[in-house]
Amino acid sequence: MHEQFIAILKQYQRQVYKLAIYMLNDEEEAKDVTQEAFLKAWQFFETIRKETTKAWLLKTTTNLCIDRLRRRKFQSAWNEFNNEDGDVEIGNKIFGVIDKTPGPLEQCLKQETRELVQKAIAQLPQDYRIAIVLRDIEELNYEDISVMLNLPIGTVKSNIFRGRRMLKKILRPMFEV
Amino acid sequence: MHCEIVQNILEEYLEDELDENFRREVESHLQSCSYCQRELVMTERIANFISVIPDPQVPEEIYENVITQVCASQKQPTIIPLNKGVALAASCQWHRGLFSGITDALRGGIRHIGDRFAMKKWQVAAAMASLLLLFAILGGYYIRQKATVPKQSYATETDIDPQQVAMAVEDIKFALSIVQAATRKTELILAQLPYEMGIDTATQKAFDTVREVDAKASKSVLDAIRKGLVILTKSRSILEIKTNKS
Repeated sequence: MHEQFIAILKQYQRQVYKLAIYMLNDEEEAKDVTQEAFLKAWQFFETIRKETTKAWLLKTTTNLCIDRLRRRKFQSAWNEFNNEDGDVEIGNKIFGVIDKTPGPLEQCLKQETRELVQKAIAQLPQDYRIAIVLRDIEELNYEDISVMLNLPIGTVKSNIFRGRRMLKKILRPMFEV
Repeated sequence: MHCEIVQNILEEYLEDELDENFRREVESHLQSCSYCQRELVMTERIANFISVIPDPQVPEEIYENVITQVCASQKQPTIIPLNKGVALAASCQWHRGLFSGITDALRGGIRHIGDRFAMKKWQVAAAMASLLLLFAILGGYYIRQKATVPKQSYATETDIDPQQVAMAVEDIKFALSIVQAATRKTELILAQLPYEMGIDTATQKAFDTVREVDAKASKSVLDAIRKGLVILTKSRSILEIKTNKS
């Protein structure tokens, strides 16, 4: 049995950590949550069916992230976002002085750029953030997300599209010529 | 159709989530509105951009920490982390050698007796098992007899301070736990190795890994056992002589 657990740990730690870091935007907390998720998987290892291991892990990680977010005080960030010019302010704050010279997409594929997107996603309200991360980062389908979050598919889609619209506002300075 | 409406449903449009009539109206608007066309391009670029950003680097300590905590938990299985922190693990070579020595001796003994008395292997094994059972019964009887005798503490029998006895026991337990950890580490090493590596390469790799910690760990194990025995027997000089001889 222990070989199976090690295999699961190796196979899914990247996905679990990716989910956690985008949800929490904090490396230390993401590490803690990832470890917690796998320890829970170990605790319930005998009851988790093989075909649902990934979904179970991602769901557990999502719940752990939600718990962490509840402890944080991010209301002020959301209020700031709700200001008329808040979206532009946040965009500029994240990216600093934006070089508006357009370049090939490949130039953006750097760690720093990933971190910028991570910060942008962190600005989203919790429901939209979860939906965006599960759909656009973890690439789950609507049905899996609906089951995982125990939400109707319509609500899932709505959260995803609204989240993308907000993200577009934040990331706009990077893409405008 | 107003631009504001179109720009508010571009995400749904790209995902083909609009009903047919609505979709046709949006497309008709897009054909004639350059501003909304640019907005559509922007929406697509951002969506594509997010889908191709690289994954974050996973911190190595996550794997090690999970394994460490699993080992520390009460549940099975007993696995230990593959990191330098477990350099305390004693020579598994000694432990494995002892175990394989005993099993080889048993097999050799069964073969020899079978050849000597023209008996089949299973007959010899059954005879040995019966003998072992007899010894176990007699041993249990002896222990029960002993148990009826009022026990004196070891400290009273040997005039050793009880605290020293406790320390000695802890030292030996520590040494044995190191041996146990070494065995577990070898199990983990073997589990880690890919099957396609081949059994000879895998064996050598496991042996090399254990040997790396052997030099550091075996001394501490021997010291711990020796210290425990010295306190318990109060015969330091005898032990020193025996150690020098070996």
